Amino acid sequence: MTRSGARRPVGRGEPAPRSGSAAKPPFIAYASLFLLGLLAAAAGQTFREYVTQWNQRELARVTSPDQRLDAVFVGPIWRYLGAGSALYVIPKGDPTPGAGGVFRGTRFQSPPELSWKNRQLLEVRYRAGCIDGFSNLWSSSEVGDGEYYVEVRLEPLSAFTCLTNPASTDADLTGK
Amino acid sequence: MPHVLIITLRRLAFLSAFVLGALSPIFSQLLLSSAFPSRREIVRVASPDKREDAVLVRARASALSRERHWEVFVVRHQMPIGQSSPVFVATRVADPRLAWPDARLLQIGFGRARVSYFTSAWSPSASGEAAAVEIRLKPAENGFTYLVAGAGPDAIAQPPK
Repeated sequence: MTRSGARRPVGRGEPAPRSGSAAKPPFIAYASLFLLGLLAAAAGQTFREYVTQWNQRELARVTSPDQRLDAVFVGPIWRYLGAGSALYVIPKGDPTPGAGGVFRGTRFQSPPELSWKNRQLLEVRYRAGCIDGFSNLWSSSEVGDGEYYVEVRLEPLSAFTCLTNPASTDADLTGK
Repeated sequence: MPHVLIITLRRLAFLSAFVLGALSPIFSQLLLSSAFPSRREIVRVASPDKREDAVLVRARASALSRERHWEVFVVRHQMPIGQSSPVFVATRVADPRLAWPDARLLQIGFGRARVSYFTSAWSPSASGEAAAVEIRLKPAENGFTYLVAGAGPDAIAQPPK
């Protein structure tokens, strides 16, 4: 384009304009794209947590004896969207987050019985349900500067809480 | 080199940089967890029907970690652990025990443990359609199994030193 806005004719011997540039892009372009990818991964994780949080409803909340913490069991609103049930320990009255639970679970027919044996020991009693990603120690930087711990123990009330047909040698996890 | 090819390669390089950035958290986690893995089988207990083995393993989680982990795997009878995932991962474990009260039920007992990962079901296939095993934890004590209770009534329980 000329300064006046008129299109400059391509003269003989000049290369025709092409859709892409053959000039080598600077390293910073690749680095920026790498960082953009990293940011996209972080955004994806945040979005996943947001969907999990949005798709869960509280089924049980029990406050610890010292009134500092709540044990909260949540279940999914839409079963096939995101994660299943989960247990969280959170500061009393806080909303349930979308990540950082004590465990994630599936096939809970009813909420487990949450019982604080003392202010730092939480017992989870359940008759049916599959547990995954369980950790028996909880702490948070929001409570006691991360130096306040809660131990969690699982108490299944029957021998088989997860398998559908344990008596058979073809016991399965499909929930049929 | 033809101009179109150069442009295509550049676009691919741009795309690769983006994908590499997006996958770098997974790569770094894999690298840290698999660099110089060190696992030693401690005990292997076969299920009553001899279809599965429960394997207790002592492991160093990564090159950067000095702490030893205890892991439990469920595998087909007499098969190696290979690349299978553990059903139980813990540190500072005292008196670990594996028992099969039933052919489909594995019990992981311990005197003390800081459990960082546990799943209550194992299946040889990802879809869970084949024969599965249920797993349960059996701590020795009814009270704390990891934390140590404080000296006074107001003292808070802490992890062992």
